[in-house]
Amino acid sequence: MEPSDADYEREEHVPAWRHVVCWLALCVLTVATYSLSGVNLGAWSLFVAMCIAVAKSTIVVLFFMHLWEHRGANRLVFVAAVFFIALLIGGIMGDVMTRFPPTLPPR
Amino acid sequence: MVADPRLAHHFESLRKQAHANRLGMWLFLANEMLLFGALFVGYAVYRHLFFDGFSTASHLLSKTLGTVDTFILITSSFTMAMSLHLAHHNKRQAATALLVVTILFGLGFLCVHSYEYWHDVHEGALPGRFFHVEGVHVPGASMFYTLYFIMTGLHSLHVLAGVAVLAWLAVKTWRGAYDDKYYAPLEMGGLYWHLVDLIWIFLYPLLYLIE
Repeated sequence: MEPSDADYEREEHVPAWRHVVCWLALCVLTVATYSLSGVNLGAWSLFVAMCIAVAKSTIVVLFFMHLWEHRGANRLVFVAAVFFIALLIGGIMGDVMTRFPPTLPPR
Repeated sequence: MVADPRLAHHFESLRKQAHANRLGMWLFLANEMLLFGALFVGYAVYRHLFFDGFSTASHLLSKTLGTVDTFILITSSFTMAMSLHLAHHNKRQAATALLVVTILFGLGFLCVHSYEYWHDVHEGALPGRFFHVEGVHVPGASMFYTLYFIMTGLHSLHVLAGVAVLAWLAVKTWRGAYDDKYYAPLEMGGLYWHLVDLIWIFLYPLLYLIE
């Protein structure tokens, strides 16, 4: 579909305060990761750290990189890249994590 | 009507040209993500196999400096986004100033990281068979440093490339090449810089914050 002028306008007029809010949110989340790394969360620590990293990158991608306003194709390219990385990690870790002990290197 | 010299002849308008630029840039960024994605997979496999080694090795890194690196990069991402915003509102001088600030943050990051590398080399925290930290004999610790140097090294090269691109953009912005009608190169440079920040957001907890 041909983009209308309204689409372009929406895309090109982002208020400056939004960038400030994003930056503050990124700082708060960084402090959160740092503080939580000192707390013993056991097996959950990686999960929590990755959730915070995903939240931070979502802010960067949507607002600093403007995927929030952009239409179709750019979003598709980004989602495709994330999908293939997930596929690679999922497939390989599925293999490594289900091996039986004698096939693993000694710790 | 005289055609805008910034408009390539095969595009109908600057806006359409910018859309094509953006899509091409996203395709490039997707390739960069896959490049680092493969390294993250390698990291995941070895962290799973040698968790104790990774944990011990990670404790040799300075959490404080890693956090400083993180603050430097997220703030530089913010100044980059603001610079593009200002250039788009025809505030040429302020946009250039913020680009210079972004470059200084980039150089600051490289300085802090160089110090960290110097410290690692001094301690013997090196990749593979060169690893010789006193008192650390856990399998996998040397593998952690192999991945650490490859991942942060490749990332630092990206920061260096980003600084070079931003320096060129700062000169162009200062000379008034970008305004509310045309700012595609600045936007593409910004996207690259944000991607470098994005990768660091994942490197930071994975390398510095293993409990």
